[in-house]
Amino acid sequence: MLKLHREEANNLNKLEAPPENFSTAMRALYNLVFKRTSTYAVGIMASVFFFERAFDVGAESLFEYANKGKLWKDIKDKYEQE
Amino acid sequence: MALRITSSLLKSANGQTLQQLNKFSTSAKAWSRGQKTLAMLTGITVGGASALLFALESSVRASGGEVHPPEQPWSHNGIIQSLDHASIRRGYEVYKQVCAACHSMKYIAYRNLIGVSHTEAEAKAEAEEAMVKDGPNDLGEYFMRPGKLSDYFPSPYPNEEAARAANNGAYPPDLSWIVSARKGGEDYIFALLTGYHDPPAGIVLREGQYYNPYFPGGAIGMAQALYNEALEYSDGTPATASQLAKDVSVFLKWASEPEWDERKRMFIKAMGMLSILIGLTYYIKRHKWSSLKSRKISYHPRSKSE
Ligand code: HEC
Repeated sequence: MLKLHREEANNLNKLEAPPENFSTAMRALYNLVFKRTSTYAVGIMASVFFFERAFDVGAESLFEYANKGKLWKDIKDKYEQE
Repeated sequence: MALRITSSLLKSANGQTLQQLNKFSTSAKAWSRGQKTLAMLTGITVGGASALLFALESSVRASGGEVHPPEQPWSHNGIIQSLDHASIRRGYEVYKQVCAACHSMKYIAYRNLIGVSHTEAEAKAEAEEAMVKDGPNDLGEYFMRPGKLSDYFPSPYPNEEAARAANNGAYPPDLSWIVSARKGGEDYIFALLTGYHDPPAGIVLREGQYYNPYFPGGAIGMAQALYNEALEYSDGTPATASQLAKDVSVFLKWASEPEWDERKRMFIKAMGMLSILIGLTYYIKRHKWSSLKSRKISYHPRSKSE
């Protein structure tokens, strides 16, 4: 009885192989990141960090492009003396 | 032996499920009578209320005698347009050299200028030009000292009574939030400052009143303040009356809405984020529904002979 339970549990714990239709790159990513909850969580945190940096920099550069010449940053060189 | 669904019980249950599913489906579907009536009533109510509001607002606009300010092509008009900071800086010069003689801006501090129109060193120098009342000291006395970054702009009059007494009874309002406090905002300020005229026949002005068609009533207690070359800009911009009015309007706009630029930044980010989320939501919905929409239900009753 107990043995059977353990066997079942082992089967559940066994990590699944990536789905058949994945490309080689996806397969590698799956094995490396998505397969385990631990790596998945770390993957989420790491990608959030890079996504947010990229998103903020992108939004800011759009803002600066649209307002070129009008911002404090564009005129402060005239007034700052070292 | 496979049979098609024939049981009436199963059929109706199936129909119900499909109907429930249909409510969440994005494909074209027929509306029931009740839904149509409800939508129509909602449409009539909302449309009628909007028309009424519009009519009321228009009649109020038409009832006054004053001229409505024309809309100016401000460089900060637009959904992601920032304020023009060179203009804010010139506008501060206009406020300080002209308007500050009569108008306070007691909710704006010198530190607010840093990173907007002045460097920290410049803002400090601006503050030190002003003498500020402080105290009490160890002897319990109040004293005057040069301003600090944390000080607010000094007021020209100690109180409203003094201000009225000096201006023929008219009170020059505090300009900190004047752009938000007047209908028309910066368009109104610009029109007011550049709109002085000789009074038309039939309009009688009292002592100390001037004619300005943009001011409600037409008779304003403020004389024309801006003339060509009324001051000299430190950045060399030709100081025409309209240039002065434009710059001080932008400066007052900034004072009223200092978060303007930040709001435009947030707008870009919010729109970017929401479009990503809308795309994701659409994809996930299609993904989850792909199995529901492509499935077929078949029922195999157990044959009696088995
Ligand atoms: C000589 C003193 C004086 C100067 C200088 C002055 N004002 Fe005024 N201002 C007044 C007075 C007095 C009133 C009140 C007028 C009234 O209520 O009839 C007023 C009213 C105003 C109003 C409010 C109008 C309204 O709709 O109630 C604005 C805006 C304004 N001034 C802007 C300015 C600006 C900007 C400058 C600088 C370019 C300036 N003023 C310079 C005295 C002055």
